[in-house]
Amino acid sequence: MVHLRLLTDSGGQHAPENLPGLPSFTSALMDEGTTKRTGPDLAAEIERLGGYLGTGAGWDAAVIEAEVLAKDFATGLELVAEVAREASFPEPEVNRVRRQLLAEIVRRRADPSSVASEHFEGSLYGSAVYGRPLIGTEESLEAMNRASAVEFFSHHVGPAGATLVAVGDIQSDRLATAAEAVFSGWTGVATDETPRGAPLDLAPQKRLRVEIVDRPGAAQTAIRVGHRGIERGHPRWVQASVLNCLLGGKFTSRLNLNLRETHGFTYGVRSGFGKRLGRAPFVISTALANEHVGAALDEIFRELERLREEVANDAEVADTRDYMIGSFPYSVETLRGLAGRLSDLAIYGLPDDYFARYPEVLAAVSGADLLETARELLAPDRALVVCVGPDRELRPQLEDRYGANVSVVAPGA
Amino acid sequence: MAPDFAFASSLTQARLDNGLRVVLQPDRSRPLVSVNIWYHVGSKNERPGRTGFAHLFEHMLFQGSQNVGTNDHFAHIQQVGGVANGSTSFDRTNYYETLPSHCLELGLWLESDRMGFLLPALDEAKLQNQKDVVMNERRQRVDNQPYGRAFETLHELLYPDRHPYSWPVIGYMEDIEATELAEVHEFFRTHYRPSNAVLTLVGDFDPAEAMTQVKRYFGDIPDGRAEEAADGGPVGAPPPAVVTDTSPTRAVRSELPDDVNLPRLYMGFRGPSLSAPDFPAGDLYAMAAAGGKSSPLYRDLVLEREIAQDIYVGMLPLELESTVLLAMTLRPGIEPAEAEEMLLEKLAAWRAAPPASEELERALNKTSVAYLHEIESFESRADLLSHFAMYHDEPALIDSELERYARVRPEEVLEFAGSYLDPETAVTLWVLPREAA
Repeated sequence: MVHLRLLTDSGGQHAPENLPGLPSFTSALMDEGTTKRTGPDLAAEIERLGGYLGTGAGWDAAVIEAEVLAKDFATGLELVAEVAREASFPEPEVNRVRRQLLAEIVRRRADPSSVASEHFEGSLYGSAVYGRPLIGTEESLEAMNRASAVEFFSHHVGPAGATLVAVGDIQSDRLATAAEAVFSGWTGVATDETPRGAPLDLAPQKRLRVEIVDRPGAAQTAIRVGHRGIERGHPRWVQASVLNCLLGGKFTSRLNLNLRETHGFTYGVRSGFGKRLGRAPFVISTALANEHVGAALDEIFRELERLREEVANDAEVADTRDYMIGSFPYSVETLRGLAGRLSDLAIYGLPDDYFARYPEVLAAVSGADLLETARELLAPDRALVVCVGPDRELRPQLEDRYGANVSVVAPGA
Repeated sequence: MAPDFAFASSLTQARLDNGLRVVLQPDRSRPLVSVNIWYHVGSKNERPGRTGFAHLFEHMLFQGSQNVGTNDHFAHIQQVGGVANGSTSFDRTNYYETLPSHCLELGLWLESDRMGFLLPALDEAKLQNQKDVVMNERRQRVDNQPYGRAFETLHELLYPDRHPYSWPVIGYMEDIEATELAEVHEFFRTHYRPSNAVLTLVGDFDPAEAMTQVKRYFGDIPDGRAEEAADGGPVGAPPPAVVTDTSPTRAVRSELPDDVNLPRLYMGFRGPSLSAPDFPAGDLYAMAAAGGKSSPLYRDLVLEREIAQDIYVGMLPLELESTVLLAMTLRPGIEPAEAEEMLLEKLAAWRAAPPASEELERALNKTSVAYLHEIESFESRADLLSHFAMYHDEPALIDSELERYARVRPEEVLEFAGSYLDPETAVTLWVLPREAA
């Protein structure tokens, strides 16, 4: 099999201020018709072979992805190139995709986990680009049309800033020849027109905020705790990754052992520093039994403070590093996994030997590094807490602990 | 299309004296090894009123055993850079870990310690903790999840009372809460025996050496039948007979109010066992009907008529009989009755004429690619070998599975639709926004 991925510098970070979601909208439309084929014909062509063709936008890049049997490699590559170069944005498809995305927004609004994430990022970043949903809003989708998609496409999708990642049963020279053939003569988009995103320039967060999004009668409360974090290029990225793994990045992390295995408050809890070109959120995510929300938040804050106060013992640090080093091979065991790692090299400008050197870089992280990193990068006293659950049960627990910092807000407010 | 893989010739198989079935598939391409155990026990071995037991039990197997401390199972694995998990279904429970290949013995030791020496370490406090965790799992996956109760409701309606598929794998809240330690012990003695398990290893090892290690770690674990019979305990027989009535169901309709914004239709039918000869025809039917953007149902209902936001047709492969499931989320403003009518028209068409050969070819090719993904990682390949060993009694079938699919003729797909997808036996369940219900 062969996995193909064309990355273009047309991700969510380039959304115009008045049209959040335009990069996703444009990307979703690119495989809905080209100058040569209708959308259904494109799908039929690839699916006939058992393959897959799809498009999508993340914050840092948009992607056109195909997967085919090795014998069908040429067809896969041809279709990827056709979508990148000759998307035609047929008017009826523009309107249909808009309706489909609007329905998706309506659907998500009933999902407590989506509501919590979206509200958390909205409240954290306000009107800055990360504060608005990648998919867009009902208002922005209503305002988008064929012209806005065509304009975004012509300004952001082109060879400059684009990378083709190919993984699988294919020889490099054959790949190079085939890529040359389908991409030669592709023009447009000078690099300097669309610089890769810089860290967001935002006023610092000043205090702890606790926001309740009321869901009367909900059987559980969806929780997000965190604050604005760091960009992928931050000098402490690797230390932050180890710190996070120890805190909430593996089954035996401090948070999971505490909240799940010691207290039985939750089925699971995870934390993460978002990986983006700009300052992505640092967030702890979980779903808690309603009556234990207050007590669980106490434990979460206790764990965050502990990381800033005490050096983790050598055995715990070593276990965490060894887990990250040892489990790395699984992440590149599949074609898709390997393509993801290679995409990171392209998007974040990492050196080609980055993953070869990754184990030794991880191995050098010490307990003292983690303490310093925690002091620099974790700010529990200025965290944002979002609780999506029944206000009636949550407010007494939260006001008791956080007093005037607690507010009840409408979703998305 | 003949996908290019062959594992059967490299398989080593054995059955230890205690009944444990062992399957080894060496693959030196990556310095990893996957250890995979299936126990032939799932929620179908439970009784009404005592549901959720098999799954809760899976949690208890991560709580330490005689020589492994509480929470140390994951710790041992993660500190060598391994990954591990387990899962429970209606028919079986699996446990697996993937490790650097020089750590194979660690995996064998951990699995054998909990197969042979679990009970001394199981206490009330651990059970209470995991009951809390599982009740939160149920809240997260079912009770606080849009459409989360639909699947269990569909199964309640589709299968007669006391049929072992009529209750959900995760169990009902009050049953989870009521579980007692003594029952956990009994369940272990009944089902967690070597002769009720398959152990599969895939990865970077020498098969002769690995077999010696397997025997060293598992060979002495008694199967348990004899001594239990002697002290009057359960003798490892399956639980009291439950209803496995296969008489045709009658059409049933129901509505489920939920905290959702878009109505979703679920339609279920009782289909053939995963090992039945006509199972592949059903799988291909599902893939041909709604697999991918160029499938007829997606094209018509999602792209052209814009009735649906998404559409799913699939077979849930089960041992006694499989569930055939159709699910369709409506676009805002679409009338449920109108949408259901359209779906029924589609079904009727599939019962009237065989699929076009290019539709079947597309379905077969998509199935083949999906299968190639399943054999790609050691972990999922090991799981597949255990599957064939347990359900088909022959792990070598991993090589010929796709041939079963390639042989299916259009008329067989038509026959499948005729036999199983009768609207007169359909369970129709609408999940509706609360105010509309």
